[in-house]
Amino acid sequence: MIMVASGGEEIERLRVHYLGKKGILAEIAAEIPKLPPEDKAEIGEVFNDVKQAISNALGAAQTNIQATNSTTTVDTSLPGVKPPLGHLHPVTKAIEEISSIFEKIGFVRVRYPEVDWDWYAFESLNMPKSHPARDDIETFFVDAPENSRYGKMVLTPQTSNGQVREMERLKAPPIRMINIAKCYRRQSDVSHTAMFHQFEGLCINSDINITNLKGTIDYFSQQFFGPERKTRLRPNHFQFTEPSFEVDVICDICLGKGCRLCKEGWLELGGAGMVHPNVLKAGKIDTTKYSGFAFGWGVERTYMMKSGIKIDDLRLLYSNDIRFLTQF
Amino acid sequence: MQILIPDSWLREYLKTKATPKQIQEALSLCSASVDRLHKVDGDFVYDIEITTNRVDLMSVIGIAQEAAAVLPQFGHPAKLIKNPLNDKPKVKSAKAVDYLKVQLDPKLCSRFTALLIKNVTVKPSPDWLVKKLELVGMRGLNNVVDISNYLMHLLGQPVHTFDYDKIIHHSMILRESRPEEKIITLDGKNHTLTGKDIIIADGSLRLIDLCGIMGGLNSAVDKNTKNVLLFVQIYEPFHIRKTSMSTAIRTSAAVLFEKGLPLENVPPTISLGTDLFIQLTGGRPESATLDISSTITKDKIVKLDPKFINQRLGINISTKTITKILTSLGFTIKNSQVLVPPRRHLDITQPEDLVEEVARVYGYHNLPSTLMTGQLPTPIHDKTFYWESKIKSALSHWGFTEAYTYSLVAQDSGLKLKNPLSSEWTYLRTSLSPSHLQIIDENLGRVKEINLFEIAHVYLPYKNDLPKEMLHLIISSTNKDYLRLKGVIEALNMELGVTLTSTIVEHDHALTSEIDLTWPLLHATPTKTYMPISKYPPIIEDINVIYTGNYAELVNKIKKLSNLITDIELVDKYENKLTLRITYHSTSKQLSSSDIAPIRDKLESTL
Repeated sequence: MIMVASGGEEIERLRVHYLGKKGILAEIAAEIPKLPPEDKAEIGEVFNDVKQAISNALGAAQTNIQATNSTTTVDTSLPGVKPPLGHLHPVTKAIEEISSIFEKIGFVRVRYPEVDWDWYAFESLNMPKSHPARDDIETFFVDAPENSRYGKMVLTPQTSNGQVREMERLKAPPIRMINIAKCYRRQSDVSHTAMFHQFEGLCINSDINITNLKGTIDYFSQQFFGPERKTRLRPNHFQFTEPSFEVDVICDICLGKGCRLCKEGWLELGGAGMVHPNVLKAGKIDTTKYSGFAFGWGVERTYMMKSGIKIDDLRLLYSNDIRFLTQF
Repeated sequence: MQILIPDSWLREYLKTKATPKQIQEALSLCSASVDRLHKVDGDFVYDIEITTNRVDLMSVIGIAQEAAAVLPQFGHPAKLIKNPLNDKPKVKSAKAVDYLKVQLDPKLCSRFTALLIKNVTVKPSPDWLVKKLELVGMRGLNNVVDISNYLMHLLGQPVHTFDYDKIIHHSMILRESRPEEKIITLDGKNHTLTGKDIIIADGSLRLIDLCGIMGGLNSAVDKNTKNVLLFVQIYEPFHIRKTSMSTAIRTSAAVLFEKGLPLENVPPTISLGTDLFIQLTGGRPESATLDISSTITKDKIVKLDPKFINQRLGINISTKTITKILTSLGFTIKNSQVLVPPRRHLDITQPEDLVEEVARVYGYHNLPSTLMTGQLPTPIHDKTFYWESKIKSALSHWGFTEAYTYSLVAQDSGLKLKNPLSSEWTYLRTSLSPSHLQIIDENLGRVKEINLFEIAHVYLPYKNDLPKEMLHLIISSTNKDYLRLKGVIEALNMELGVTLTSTIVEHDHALTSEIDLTWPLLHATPTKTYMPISKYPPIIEDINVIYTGNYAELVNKIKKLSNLITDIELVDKYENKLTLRITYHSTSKQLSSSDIAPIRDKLESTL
């Protein structure tokens, strides 16, 4: 009966008849527990074979009918008609992913100027006047009058200008900030572009310590790169943090064994550290009560370190070749 | 800064069973990063990156001291065998000597030492010295020059030598240079100085040394030199950095001097140098070293507060362990006070600096990883990020591809940079359109149709203040169907619940629309106004009207005819005829043809 069924409706009726909740097989199944124990196994096996056979026959009949239908109406092997497909830039994808990870652990995303005064970009960050970052070889200066209080106008070379600005906005901890913005430096080669993006984390409260920085970095890294990508801290030196660290993440190719693409199994993610007391003072935060940590990393660089993304020249990101953009 | 340290040289001062690989790991995690470990002629060479605050690690001795402090934390016992920097000088010193008359500006040179060594024989150095220098990337020249290089690499203190007989009248004036003064350095290059460089002039007033950077050719040791002036100084760092930058000479000496070096290393350097001169050149030193110090190093003391250190570390380390770590690094601890060794004076000034010393030697890898508890910050009601992302997502789903163009452009009415990197990047843009027209031109022919968008700041100049950073959206397309692009913006209006102010501009190859998002992002809303759904069905009919060239005017006219007309939709446009679908609807009653007839009559008479 199943094999000669002529349409979908008929097959459905047969399915309900045999396999439905109140179908013939269900009725039989209800009787099985009443059988003497010595017969149960044998009858049960026969029952299962029958059920399987009916269900196979129904499936085959259904497929036949679909095949017959499709040849008469549409060739399902033709390509579908797609809605128009656009593409988000990798930098946007990275920024959205990064900010959503930090938002989950209470970091508030903010916007601070990308063209700012020397005070916020350098002076308040404990950078001595003679620091190389403050000379015109590394940093872009705007041809505009100096501010008597805040100094020269610069294109921010890092997102750290948001640190003291955030302290000023909130006046007192708790502070958990994530500042993502465009940055500018006088450099252009395969691993540097004159314009790039950074994300800056700042956390200040009573009793913030190095283990909290480690916890935050691990949380981010495992969410962003994956659970097998461990991180480590190494000593480093920055003016605005004390102690300062270099954060490494384990290489995705060799997972720490060491290979051609990494430094002994590790890739440098960026700098971090405990906020220098002079920076807290510049933001009028009571250093006897509060401490904090900060980190600032390149969005492009961090995104490139995700498994599977290998762009050999960072400048491609800003070349805006449509053949590049539509790959993402 | 980078330094090469041969393993065999290191082990002359460091006693440990740790392998080079283990030393590399311990230094990288707790001190300075050993970027690479090279195997050279059966020896190993550590290629180490030194941060600018640790100039004391720019020497074999410095690294040996650090390794001795950090290796025990990894279970490798280690000890410093000897430290020439702690040795008492064998030659006595004097504030004035017969063999050299000196006049100096103490602000430029805080310690000036010199010792005359007579009857030297200039010849090639012995193999052990040549080999050491080769391992650290230097070529053996002759015993005199090689001794200087050896001392600097071992102790981290630059050393210079003069041919004593080329110093006219055996007199020196150490002063700031004047603009346009000239000197030919050892490498034969001519330099015209810009002024305020530290220089030495001799008795004939000619310049014989560009101090801290490179010696003068006219006073250099050569193969005929008989008497050598061994010369070890401490120069003022800012002057050295300035001269090194302006002359573009980055010698190892300049790199060390510009970081600031301790006065205390000078006498032991002269002393070890003297020994080597006797041993390798057969020279005879004078009985006294000239030693002029303008300052003395004051003791530097930082308070030891174990509670504070543990608070910052987030764990509890015993005071005993803290003391042990600090002592291993050369600090002296007495009654909760830490006496900082002179070589660390510039780096260690406050309790936070001691936190770093303890934490790094204890090992950052040994600290747990814990997310912070405690109060969360007050959230700010900033929905602009949400809406920005919503716009990007909508446009990308409607077939537009996102671009990121440089904010710096070749020409604009906006702010100009003082020091642009190239003429292409000179102005901060005030509009996104030119950048997009440029990339559309560049992409023409690569694909059939280009549909792009970008959201970025423009920087609008503002008198006596920072520029106003406004978020702009640009949508551009090579499809020149005006109504299509208009439709995209209308759809965005519906997504955002606000009306975007936009103009669509036609260019040679594209349409663009640039929109200031400042206001829309602040006012966008997900809330829609609820209109009760009428119980009564509407009456819908299509009518044909003559198209006069202004659709908006036509619609307005029709709407005014009756408030029962709730919707007008354009169904078709053919030549000068429009088909409009009119919806008649009432919320209070069931409409019948008798309600519609008078309106239809008016419609026909009006149009």
